[in-house]
Amino acid sequence: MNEQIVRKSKLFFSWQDEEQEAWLGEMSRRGLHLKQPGWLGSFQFVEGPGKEMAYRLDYNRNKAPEDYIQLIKDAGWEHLGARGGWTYWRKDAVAGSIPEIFTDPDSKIQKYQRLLAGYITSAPALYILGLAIFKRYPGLHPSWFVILYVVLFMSWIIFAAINAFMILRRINKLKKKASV
Amino acid sequence: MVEKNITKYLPLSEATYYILLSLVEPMHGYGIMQKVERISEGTVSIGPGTMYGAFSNLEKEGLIAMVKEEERRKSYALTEKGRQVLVEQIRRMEIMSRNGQGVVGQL
Repeated sequence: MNEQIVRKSKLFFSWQDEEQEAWLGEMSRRGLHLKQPGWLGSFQFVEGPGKEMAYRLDYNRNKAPEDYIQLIKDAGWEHLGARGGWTYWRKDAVAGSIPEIFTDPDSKIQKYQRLLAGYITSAPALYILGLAIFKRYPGLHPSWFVILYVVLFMSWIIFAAINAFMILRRINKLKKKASV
Repeated sequence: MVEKNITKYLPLSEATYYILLSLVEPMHGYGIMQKVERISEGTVSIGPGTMYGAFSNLEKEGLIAMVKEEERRKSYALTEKGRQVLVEQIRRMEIMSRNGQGVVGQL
């Protein structure tokens, strides 16, 4: 069978998982079915007849537990791959019913909390890494390397803070939904 | 008087109620999802992510315990504490239901 691979790029921020799911669903409707997620917003698609498919993204900082993956597979979801902590899942949307991996606000909140924890712990981790490098190579100080490190560190802090803020907004919205 | 460490879990969410109800016999996650869909007559459906999260929470609270693991599928069953929570939930729902039946004719 000759598969026609189509590559497309589209960048999504980490808080735009639902937008990404909707976009992948729209691509399937138009006959481009995700084969594999790539790095930095690059996606590989296989051409075929247009179809109604549900795409769902899950987040696990470390590799998702095997029994967890198995349970989602048992429920009929196709494992498309994992990138940067995100696992991509797909399932046929049969006649009007949209399948879901998370069916209550609490479990969706927990997914975003896992994502948030990654951003919050990244700052001190990066800081400690920097200190370790300077300690190992004292000759680097003071030099262009220190400036580069500080600039990168500050940029990352700002990026992580924006991500954390947007993810917190999602969590708060879900929390309002959680109680009757 | 039912103890506080039982009543603090009440009322259970519909999904949690059906999960505990299913676990009167040991069962794995997908088995529960199918059973809940069936016995709730389609009114409650539990996604696999939610199912897994519920397992971790209920296990942490000591309401269920893992009894078996084979081929990456973990089976759980109710603990004594889980059984007490479920019994009290059912008792409360019977009261709720009786009260509902009392007024349903006037609605």
